[in-house]
Amino acid sequence: MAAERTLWRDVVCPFCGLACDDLAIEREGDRLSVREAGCARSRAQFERPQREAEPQIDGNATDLASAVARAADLLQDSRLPLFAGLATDVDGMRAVMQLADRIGGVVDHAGSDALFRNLRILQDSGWITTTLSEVRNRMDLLLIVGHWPEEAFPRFIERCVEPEQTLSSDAPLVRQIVRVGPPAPDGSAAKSGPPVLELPCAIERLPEAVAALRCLVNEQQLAASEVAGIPVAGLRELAERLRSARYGVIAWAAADLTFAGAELTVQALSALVQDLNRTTRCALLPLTGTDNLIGVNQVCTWQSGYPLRTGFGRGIPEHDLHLFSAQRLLDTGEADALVWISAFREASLPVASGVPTVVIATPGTTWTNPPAVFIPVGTPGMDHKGSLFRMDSVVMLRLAALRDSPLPSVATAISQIDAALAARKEA
Amino acid sequence: MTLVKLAGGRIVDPANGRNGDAADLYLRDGVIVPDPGPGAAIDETVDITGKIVMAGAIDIHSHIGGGKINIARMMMIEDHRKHADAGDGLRRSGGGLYTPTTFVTGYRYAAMGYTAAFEPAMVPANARHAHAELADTPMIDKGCYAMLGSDDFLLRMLANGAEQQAINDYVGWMLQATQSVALKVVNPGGINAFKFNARNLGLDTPSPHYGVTPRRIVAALARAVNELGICHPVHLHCNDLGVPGNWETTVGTIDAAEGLPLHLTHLQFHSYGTEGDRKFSSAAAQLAEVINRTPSVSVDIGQIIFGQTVTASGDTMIQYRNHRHAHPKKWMCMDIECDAGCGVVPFRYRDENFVNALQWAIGLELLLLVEDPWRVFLTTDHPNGAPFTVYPHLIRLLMDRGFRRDMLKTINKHAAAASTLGGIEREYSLYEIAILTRAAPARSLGLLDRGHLGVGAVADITVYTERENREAMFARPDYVFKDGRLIARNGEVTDIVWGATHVVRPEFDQGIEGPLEDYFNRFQTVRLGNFRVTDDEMEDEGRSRLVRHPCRRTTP
Ligand code: SF4
Ligand SMILES: [Zn+2]
Repeated sequence: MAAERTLWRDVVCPFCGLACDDLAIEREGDRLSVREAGCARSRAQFERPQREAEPQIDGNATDLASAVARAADLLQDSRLPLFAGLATDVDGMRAVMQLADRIGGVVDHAGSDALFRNLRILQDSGWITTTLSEVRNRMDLLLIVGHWPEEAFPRFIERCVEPEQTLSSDAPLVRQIVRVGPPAPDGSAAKSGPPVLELPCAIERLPEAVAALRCLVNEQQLAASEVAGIPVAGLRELAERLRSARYGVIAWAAADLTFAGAELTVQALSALVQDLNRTTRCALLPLTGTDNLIGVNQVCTWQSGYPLRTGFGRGIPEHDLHLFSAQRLLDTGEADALVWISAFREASLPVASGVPTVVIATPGTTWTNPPAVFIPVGTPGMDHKGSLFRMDSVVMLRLAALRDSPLPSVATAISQIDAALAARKEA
Repeated sequence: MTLVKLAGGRIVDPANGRNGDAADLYLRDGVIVPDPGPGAAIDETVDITGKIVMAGAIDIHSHIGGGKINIARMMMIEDHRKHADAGDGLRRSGGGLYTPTTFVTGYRYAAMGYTAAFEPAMVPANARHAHAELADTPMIDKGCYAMLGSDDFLLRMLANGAEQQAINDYVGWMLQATQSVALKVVNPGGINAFKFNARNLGLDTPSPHYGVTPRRIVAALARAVNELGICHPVHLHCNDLGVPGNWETTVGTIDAAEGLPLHLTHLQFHSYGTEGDRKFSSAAAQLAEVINRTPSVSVDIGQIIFGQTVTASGDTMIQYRNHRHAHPKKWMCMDIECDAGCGVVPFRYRDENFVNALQWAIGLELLLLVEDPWRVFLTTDHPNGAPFTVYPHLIRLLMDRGFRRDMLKTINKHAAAASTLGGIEREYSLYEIAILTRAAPARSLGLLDRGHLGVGAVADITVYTERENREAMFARPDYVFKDGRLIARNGEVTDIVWGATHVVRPEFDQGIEGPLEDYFNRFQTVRLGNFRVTDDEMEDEGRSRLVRHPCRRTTP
């Protein structure tokens, strides 16, 4: 008998921070196929086969109740439990926060390094930002700082830069695109899409380029003829374009800025945008949010008052972006239990830590040494409903369950551990 | 179900005309029930002989959740470092004085005898997020006002000469799609104009690109709310907030509503004249006079109280302009989704500063000069004027003339001299405070079974020991009941409950979804179906029980 077929429309894709919500996905039995819209990444993720998976203790199959009980044992004995990875939906993070608050844990997302390159600037000086629909409709100049976003945010150009119509004109808006960053590996500019003025510059030399650009925007003289390998004439031309644009947008992926002191470059971009807004409009667009980084940070903030890298070890929430970094807590051995959460993509367990580990992740997750406990969970937006935030931190979208799945959600798994611990406390 | 008797309290319940008479109250199944008569089995009697009994208080305008508030929390981590609250098994941990976390927001309101608070500036594109935060806000009822008036869809409609009927349908659709209880307008047209680089927008200035004046926007939306039969009038944050001389804009805006009901929010920030050496003066007397003779207008104040806070507003045009006053020196603005915007600017109100001191006096002047307590609500525009936790202090300022005059002596002396406050004799009575903080907001929002203590009312009840020091009295009520359950004792939370979310469900022509869907598909980055917040997702977690309020249409 042929498997039952359903066509889902306007499906939200949870596989990068753009959270495109225009996919059409067909379900046949438990197989999903992207029929309209989407990109290579969304196809790879939605179409991955549904794997059989059972919970494990020390690599041996078990049932959910036993895995939950074992996880509760580990956490009960822990002085400083660490909740990391945190690739989960809003409800998953709510459950994590409740448990971490109860048992004095620390929460940190795998994408936090990049997050804080940006957040520190919000906290130190603030910024002027915009959101995807504003970019789509109002932007007349896009400056990309860093890599061309096709790899990390595959449909950014299609959805936000090259719409057929905008609120300001029925024809495609004429837009200038400039990129300051390393040349694409094949030497070309953008592989496809609109023409781009490229100002090639190594990633680690972006601080110099951005600083020079800010000087030029403010009509200060530069003695050099070249900065960071870019002819000053090119930067001057860009400065002129930014000043004459009506709604410029400066986009970067903080994850690309892997050099030391990268937040200072974000700071300089923010200051540049503030300078420009004295006479025209210009706004920042941080390209971010994959694995619901923004949503997880939002939940952490509204519940604890702090962004990620917050701990509850002393009863009150405390935040420190260095002290509570997951990597540091594992490297120093301060964390004595790890709960690693990764519900969106099939990934490998990145931390080979010595501490007892509970992995709550998609069935295809791989590791070198089996964790103490493995609880396979469904992917929000495929196996169960949920919600996430888009990169711009404004739009929160509902994720649908596209097929039946026997797997629990992160929220369910964590809540069961929480309930087990609470019951023990009462007993 | 259990029958609880609150015995011997003095009932202050203006909605039912009761002013302190001693009587028993009976609660069953979360509501106030009639005296069951002699011989009825009372499960529990709480002796409150001689204590003051009021309905739970209602904050009609308090920014307690959603995008800009969470940005403010993130930005102001110093607030959380200073003010951390430990969890205790019952309560979750959290903190923050002027950017409190969601759980702490609920606890503090409840401990203070408040049982409802309304988030007054929900950007439609951010609706799901706002509701998610409110779903994590325990203890109190809540509701949101959807912000329109700078959204490109409406401005296109107005620019294309759309019929009022279509505007009504759009407003009705939007309130339903965002699960809102009222309509908010912030700097009509101005947030949109700022995206086109306009730095101000006068009431009669055509906006850039669309050529629509704020006056036209106010008129169209006031009419839409009225014709849809939504109880609460357009909740309006006027153009020119904070600008000296803006009181004339405020008066002009009242005219723009063409006699239809209008709520002017945080009026204090819109009551400035240009007299005196510093070209900054109080226009409270002039405005109060206009309001006193315009019964279609209600107001809330946005009282400031000195100290550090953070301003969070949808008004990007004004927040951008005010960034140079940021304290500490950091601020943000965001253009949002062809919908609205937000700006967060930390601020410290200083009593030695002339402008700040006069702002303080202007708020109090308005509260004391607007005569009808049914048309003025007690707000600090939390956190913009001060955190909501200053309400007991503010109530004392209204009820205690001596205290008020002592405070007046401590502020900038030029401001004190410029203000008429010292000469105002009025002292609010407990009865009037109960109107301001309970009966009037409930009536204005259409919460028929809240804000009073009549039979059938929801048993949201606050019991106070009467004290001469009104601040002490209102800060720590003896008992607070929510839906008939005791939730706080002597200013401490004793039980955790989850309040309801209030929404309106006006009737409108679903045909509006045709043009809307086309608009979303062509211009937006979210599909219409994904934008809409459904009842199912609201009630999913069992925390956001919906209370749907009827609308009475005035036209077919
Ligand atoms: S661009 Fe990102 S959100 Fe959009 S379909 Fe591809 S992976 Fe999904
Ligand atoms: Zn407000």
